[in-house]
Amino acid sequence: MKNNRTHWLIHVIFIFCSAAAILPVLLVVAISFSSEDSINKYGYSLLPHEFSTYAYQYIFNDPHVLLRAYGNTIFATVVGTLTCMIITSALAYPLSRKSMPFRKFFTMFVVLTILFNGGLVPWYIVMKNYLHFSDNIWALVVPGLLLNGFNVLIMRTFFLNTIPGELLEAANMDGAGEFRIFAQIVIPLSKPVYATIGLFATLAYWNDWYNSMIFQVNHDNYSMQYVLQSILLNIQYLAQNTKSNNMSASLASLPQETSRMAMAIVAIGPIIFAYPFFQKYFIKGLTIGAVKG
Amino acid sequence: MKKRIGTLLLAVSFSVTMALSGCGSSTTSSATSTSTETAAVSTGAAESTAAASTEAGAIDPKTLKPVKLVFVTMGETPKNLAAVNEEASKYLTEKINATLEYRPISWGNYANKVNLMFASGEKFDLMFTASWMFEAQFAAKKQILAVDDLIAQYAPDYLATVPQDVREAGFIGGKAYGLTGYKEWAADKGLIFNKEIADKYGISADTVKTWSDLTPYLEKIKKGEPGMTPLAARSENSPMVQMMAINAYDTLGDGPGCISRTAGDTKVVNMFEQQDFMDAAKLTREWFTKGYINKDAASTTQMEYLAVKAKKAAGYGQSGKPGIASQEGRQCGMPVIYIPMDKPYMTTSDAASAILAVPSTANDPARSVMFANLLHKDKYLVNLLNWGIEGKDYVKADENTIKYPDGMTAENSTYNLNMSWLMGDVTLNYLWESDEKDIYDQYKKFNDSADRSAALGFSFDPTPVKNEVAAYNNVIKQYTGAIYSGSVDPATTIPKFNDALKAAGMEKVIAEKQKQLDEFVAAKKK
Repeated sequence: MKNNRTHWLIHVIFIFCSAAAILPVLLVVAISFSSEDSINKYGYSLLPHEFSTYAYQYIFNDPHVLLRAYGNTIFATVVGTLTCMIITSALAYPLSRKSMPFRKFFTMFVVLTILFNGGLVPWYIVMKNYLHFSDNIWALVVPGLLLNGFNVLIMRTFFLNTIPGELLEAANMDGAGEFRIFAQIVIPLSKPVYATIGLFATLAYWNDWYNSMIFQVNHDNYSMQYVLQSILLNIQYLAQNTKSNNMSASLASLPQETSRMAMAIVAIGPIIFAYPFFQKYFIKGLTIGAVKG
Repeated sequence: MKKRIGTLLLAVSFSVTMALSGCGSSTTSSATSTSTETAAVSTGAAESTAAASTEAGAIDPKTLKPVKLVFVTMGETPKNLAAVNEEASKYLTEKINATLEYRPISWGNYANKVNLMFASGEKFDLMFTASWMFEAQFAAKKQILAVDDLIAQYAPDYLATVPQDVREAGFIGGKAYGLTGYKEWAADKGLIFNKEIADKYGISADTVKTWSDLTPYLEKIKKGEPGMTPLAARSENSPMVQMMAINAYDTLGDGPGCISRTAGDTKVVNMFEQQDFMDAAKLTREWFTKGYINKDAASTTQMEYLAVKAKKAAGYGQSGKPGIASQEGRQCGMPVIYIPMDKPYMTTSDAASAILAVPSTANDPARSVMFANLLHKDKYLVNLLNWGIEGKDYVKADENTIKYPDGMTAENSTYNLNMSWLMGDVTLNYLWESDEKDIYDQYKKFNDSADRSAALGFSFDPTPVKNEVAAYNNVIKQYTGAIYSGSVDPATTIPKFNDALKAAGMEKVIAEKQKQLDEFVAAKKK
């Protein structure tokens, strides 16, 4: 009896928790399908007062631009995440090996990049003028996102704590070289941490608009988040600063609130499917990296 | 040993990669901190074209070297931009032997992006700036060039269309840093009302001359229209903001200290201590307590026109200019009337609100100025840049009026840059069918009739009193929203407010402002 009651209590608590997470998303969906007028009149509501797909029409007004940006983001996310996992682990693994010379120095080198950076302008100049990551798709992949010192440390700790040194020694005895040990022993044992870092990187690439803002000129190279962000900024700016006399009639029909929500839905898009995929390993990777076993 | 070297190599190569990729937690510092030592100051690039001109304005393109002009402003990138750039390049090659790459940068990112372009020494040739878009900062860092001589030599049409006092309002330290656009250079204050309501209760420019005339009408609306608040307000824009901060005083840029329009002198005073400010606050308070202003005015962020559109309010305070009623009417989705409360007033920030400046990295500053001058002269070029290619992006309805081609609307237009207000002379633009036909005459009348502020052309440099200005702005944020919306009693709040301002160092800023203004006036008299 008592057991039953506790069950109920737990159920209720979790129903509340789930609702707190799901309702806002439903609200966003509902608003994105409402007409702008009804939002102004009645405020937000979970069921649209007047159903309308105008916000989506407005965003996809020029589908070429947004679809192209979607493609750019997907490309940057896939290529960037894979490259990121490869080079992060290739740096983290040697740092985890006690036999590596100057190990302390290189670890410090990594930690320093977490604490300090050169500042925006020098960084921009190096990327643009010397490495020419500007106005091409690689400007979405390389600058800032490719390697993150924090990820390196997580991975290093993982290698250090979960892969027994004896195992590597044994493999060495059996005649495996460093590269073979890494590829055939270490990587298969480290799936959780790869999933964790992969998820971090995927999100960072997916959500990135900053690189587009700074490096891209031609809007064929914009990332999706940046295109959405500039649509939003332009709407806001036009609505608040109507300095122009010739402001065309379209201003009255700018779907300010609804398009904001529609954009959120569009941006959630495929990335939401990445979560279940990574979930299996995610928690394990984080905790194993954190606690010394 | 061999293995150790192997792992070492791995580590070295990847730590280098990491350093290059900027790494860090990508918490990028804001662009405002951009250092600008790298911005190269062009030296004597003007010489290359100096030989080309014989007399002012007469330019022979054959004697000019070909050059590519990169022109940046705020704006959305239109679909047909490439075609327009190509067309404009063809046209400009004939005129000044230059090709054009016009590059709009989205609104919110413009300042950041331009700062980065300067920082990396990127070459561009003409850019938008204004008193509200860091003209003084660009000039102080020598990122934009003083172009007085080039204007005198190559911009006769600009000199003919924009009067001297307006040009001088955009000067920094007595020098011209660009070409001021022809648009409205002043603002008046007033009210927008739903036309239906205004007609029903007899509100018009003839019946309402002063703010207090309005009170009985507001009462009638309150009684006669249940569910409707007579006036919509936000802390940034209530009728009182229009009354005082925009119209009755010239706020002289950032920080405290204004000069009174009615006094007409150049004595810098604290606006919040003046009697007319107190009177306006009391009137606003009266409106608020009687329910003529929305209760949430101090905290809401909803734009007023949305409240009118949703029929939750009848009107709101608005800074006016020619064509304001049709512009606001489009936003409200219904016909509205505009009731001006005073003559237009011209301050530095109004007059210098759109300037085309020549960056220090320009290929050939003389050519940039020639191009900017064409925007004050050449109807074809201006319309090409603003509205695209005739027959494709728009069609002519008659001689001077244009519309979209059949099947095209504002939503699916191929080119509607709509930046005519910063593109040289606005009156060169064709009118849209929804525009008032005599709008450009109204502009001229409006500009001519505007009262000039006694400090027109003065721009305050807040650097010596930076900390005090920041402290002042914090106090302002705390108090003004409540006072402007009428949510607190001014008789007790305003003295408290003034004490807080004094504690924040207001008097020091006013003294500094007065000093700079006196210097400005003295220099002008010479």
